[in-house]
Amino acid sequence: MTLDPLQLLCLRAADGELSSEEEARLRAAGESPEAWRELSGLVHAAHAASLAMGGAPELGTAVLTELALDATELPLARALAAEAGGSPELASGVLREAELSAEELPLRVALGLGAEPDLAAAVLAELGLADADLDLAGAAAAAAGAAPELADAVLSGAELVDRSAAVGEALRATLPPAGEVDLVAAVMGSLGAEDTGTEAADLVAAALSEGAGPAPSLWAGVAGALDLEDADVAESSEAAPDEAEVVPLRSAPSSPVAPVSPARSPRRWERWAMGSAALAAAAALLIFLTQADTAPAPEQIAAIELAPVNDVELEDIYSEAMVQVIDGEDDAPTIIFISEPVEGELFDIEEGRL
Amino acid sequence: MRRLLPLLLAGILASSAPATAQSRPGPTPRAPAAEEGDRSRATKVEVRVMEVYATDTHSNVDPKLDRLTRYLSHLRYTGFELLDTHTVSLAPNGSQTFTIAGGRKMEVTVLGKDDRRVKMRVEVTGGKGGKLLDTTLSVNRNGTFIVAGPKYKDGVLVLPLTAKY
Repeated sequence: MTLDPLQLLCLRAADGELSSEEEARLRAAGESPEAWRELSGLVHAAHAASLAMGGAPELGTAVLTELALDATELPLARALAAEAGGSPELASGVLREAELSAEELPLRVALGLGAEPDLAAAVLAELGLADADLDLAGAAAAAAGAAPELADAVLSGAELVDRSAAVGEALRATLPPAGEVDLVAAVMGSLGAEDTGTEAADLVAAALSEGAGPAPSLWAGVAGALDLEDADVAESSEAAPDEAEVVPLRSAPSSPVAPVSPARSPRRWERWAMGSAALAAAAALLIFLTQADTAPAPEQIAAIELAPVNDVELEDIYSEAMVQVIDGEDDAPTIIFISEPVEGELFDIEEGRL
Repeated sequence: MRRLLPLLLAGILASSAPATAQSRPGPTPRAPAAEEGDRSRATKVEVRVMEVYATDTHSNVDPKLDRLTRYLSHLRYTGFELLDTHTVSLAPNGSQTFTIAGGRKMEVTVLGKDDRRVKMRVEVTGGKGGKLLDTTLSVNRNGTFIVAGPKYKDGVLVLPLTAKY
């Protein structure tokens, strides 16, 4: 559509943009510039009246269609944004994983039920967390009440085998204060003899109870069990036992993993010394065995052997007590019976006893 | 030199060990030093003393004493328990003291022997030093006689003595 010069002048007259020269030319062509200005005013007035009567134009649907957005997601997106805080980008993924209907979540939010129960697992899934991690998180959440238990649960769930200073630090945080440490039970447990029902275990437990050292020795033992070589701990315990006794376990010095020095090869004279010591021990054992009581135990004693003939001839006999000689019949051994009479008792010769 | 040191040490230690020990540390043999070879063994007498506890509180009899108990019927005890056995080899004029139950001591001395009999002296002393028995007797080769009567617990001690050679 193309306007000719006269139509263009009429339009500019309606918009009030005519110059004096153009107005002269328009008047020369038989057109009135004032008439066109009035018409323009009427059109604007009519448009203004239509806007006031009809409200906002229905532009939303058209715009969403152009942008390929689903109109039903718009209020849901706002609700998710309010719930998700700083991570509104998770909204759509959360909705998919949680299989929430478009109306359900706003309704739950509106009713004050919240979206957390369904949202947590969905968020973890959306973030691509593995099941093990989810279990770990669940274990941590279940044990979140007490820090030591949480530490155990997390370590167990994660199957951590890293015996590092971090583990030691966690253990120190987990262990009770020094005054509450049961050294005997701990040591017996480490020995695999928690049940003190056996006599040997009871003896060991009693010995441990009597000889239990100061509290830091427990940490030294724990550090040793964890292969944590901490020379400072051992040296400080030995050098200042008095101080060590009052140092609570929680404040025991940290135990960084120290490099273990390689074992030193024994020198030649040390090898000789070890060999000689072993030989001397064997010789001492030999002496002990040969000098020990060689009398057989009753269980090893052979049965008595009696000769077919047992004939005894007495040349003389003396006793401060009463003695009776009983000759057995035939080959029976002779019995020399000694009485040790107690005051008031008489020896019964016929009975052969008191 | 150092290689020979352990061998030398072993030799010294081995030579310092007694050749044999035939009885408890308590007894102190007065016999002459042991002689070597079959000849010395032939001249010695093996003396064996058994300690038996006889009681009438029960009727249990040690199976090792089965062959003996029938000769103990005179004593009217029903239970016989073997407590210990002492064995020593004594040459003529050799002596051995045994400590027996109840703090008593029995000293046996071999005075002499021939092919058929051995002559010996037997002394029994009580816990307080009293002489309960001092006898000289001879017994046939490999023969046995019994010394009984010293009180022990609620019964008595029975001490069978056998001389074997």
